[in-house]
Amino acid sequence: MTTLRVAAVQASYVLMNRDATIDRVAELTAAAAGQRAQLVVFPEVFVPGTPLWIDGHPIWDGDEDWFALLAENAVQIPGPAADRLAAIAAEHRVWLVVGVDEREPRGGTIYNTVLYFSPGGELAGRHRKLVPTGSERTVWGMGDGSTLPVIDTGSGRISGLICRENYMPLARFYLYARGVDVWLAPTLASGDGWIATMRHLARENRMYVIGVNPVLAAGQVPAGFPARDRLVTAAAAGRWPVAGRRQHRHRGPGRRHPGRTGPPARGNAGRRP
Amino acid sequence: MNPVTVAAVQAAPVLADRDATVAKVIALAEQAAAEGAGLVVFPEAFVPGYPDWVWRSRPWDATSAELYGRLLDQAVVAGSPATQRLAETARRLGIWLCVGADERDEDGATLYNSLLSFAPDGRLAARHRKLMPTGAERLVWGTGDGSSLTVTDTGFGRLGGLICWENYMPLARAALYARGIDIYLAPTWDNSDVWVPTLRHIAKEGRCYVIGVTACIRGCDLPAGLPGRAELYGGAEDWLSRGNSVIVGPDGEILAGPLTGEDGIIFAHIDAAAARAARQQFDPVGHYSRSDILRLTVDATPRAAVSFHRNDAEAAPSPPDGAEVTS
Repeated sequence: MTTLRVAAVQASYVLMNRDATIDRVAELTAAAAGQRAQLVVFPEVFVPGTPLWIDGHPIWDGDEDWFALLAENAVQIPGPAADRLAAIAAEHRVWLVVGVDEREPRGGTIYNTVLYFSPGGELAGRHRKLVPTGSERTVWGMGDGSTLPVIDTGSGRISGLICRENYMPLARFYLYARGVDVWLAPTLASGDGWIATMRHLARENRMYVIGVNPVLAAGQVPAGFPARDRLVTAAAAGRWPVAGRRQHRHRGPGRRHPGRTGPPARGNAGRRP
Repeated sequence: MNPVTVAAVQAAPVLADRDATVAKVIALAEQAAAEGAGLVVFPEAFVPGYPDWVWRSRPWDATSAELYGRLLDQAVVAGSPATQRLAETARRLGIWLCVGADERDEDGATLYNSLLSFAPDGRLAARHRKLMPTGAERLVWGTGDGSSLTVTDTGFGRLGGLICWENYMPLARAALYARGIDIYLAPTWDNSDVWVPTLRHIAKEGRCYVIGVTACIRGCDLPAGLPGRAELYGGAEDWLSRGNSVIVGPDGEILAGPLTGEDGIIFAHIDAAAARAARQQFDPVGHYSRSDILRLTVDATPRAAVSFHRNDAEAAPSPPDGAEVTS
């Protein structure tokens, strides 16, 4: 097995602007590939961003314009946006993993989806989040068992779950059973509790874990965004990825890297349970 | 549902000395109860101690054999005077007393890594045998079966737990979540810095309180007569386990600890209703599961290696008095 150089991209999207955000994916993928990354991972629903209003604003109470923008800017498969992402992967010869708000070409339901593009520019896999969390259930549908891929890169098998899906023991177990080596956890969750979970997962399945979050400041909400002030106020009261933080890969004491995981101690203390 | 004060006791057993260790459990439980604890939890295999030598000695040399024999002799048997003393302590103090034990059947020679829970009415209310020992532990402990994946109602919440690296078994955890666990015990020997993140993860995954409890023991704590003591162990500088006890709330927040490098009792005041309310956010066996895609089946049947069957209706008639029977 060869090694794999991986990159987690913590960045801001252009809120509810699919094409401008894909431009950012192109720039940032080029930057990561320029630093020899072979696997480049973007945050949860990076394209075209998080529906920021859902926690800080009552549902169905003046959110129609925002939802319409989300639907209009969602990524369709097949479609030109997906083709552009595939071309970015091919141009830089990387595995490109991107969270998107996804919509069926003729559908009205939006899914929280992760797309896997191969260095050859193929859409190698797609995972739709099985259970959205809390208020997310008002904007995203639920995936089914057909979109739980584990993909062999030739340098390890990659897979993962989105945000709080990472707390679903049976979903994790199913993917562990299929031999995942590198776990991707795009998320909006922040805080040290989330880092604890990333470290737990690494050790539970003895694998690498890549957590990746967006970051966005209020000033980055595009000028002219519908009801911009109300959105920013609502988002500030609810979810706001400004506190997004990069989670470096946590190396578990994996098969290829046996070694101590605990603090130094004389004798054997710390090395084993 | 009443709130309760819970206590995790970080201490050293008198290794391989059951009665002395039980005396220590009783004294420390009294101390915790005096501080108001209604649930007192002791570390993995605390009575008569974690067989740390499995990590230091060759599996089948004479010392290992002698130590195994000692542990077998000093092991805890359910219903024996040792468990009666523990049960009586729980009753006298009016507490739930949960103690890790090297345990065996009365007539058995295989040891199990068990978690015994004694109720305030003096019953042995639950016994969990570790399903899967880790690494060198497999040289001394057998494997439990699904019949001991239980959760017990206490009046202040539903109580259960897993032992040490069992806590990395996602399906075993899911089984306990499905039984409605509110207070999750995780006695362990794990001293690593990843252990506390694991307990925080479990608390968030199950939206339950997690009580991690670890022994704190050094070479100087070992009894002089322990076989192999001089060859395997040093003194005060030789840590067998530094401890790692911690109490975590249902949002993954640390309520007490982690305590390392010293003996002590850590306490937290907990309310199981808060854990249940936290499942609005996440319930791994309810609204945040997908039973249309993923389902778990648990075999909870007791699995004895040998079961005796006798059907009197099929038995041959007894020979007449005085007849010779040959076989």
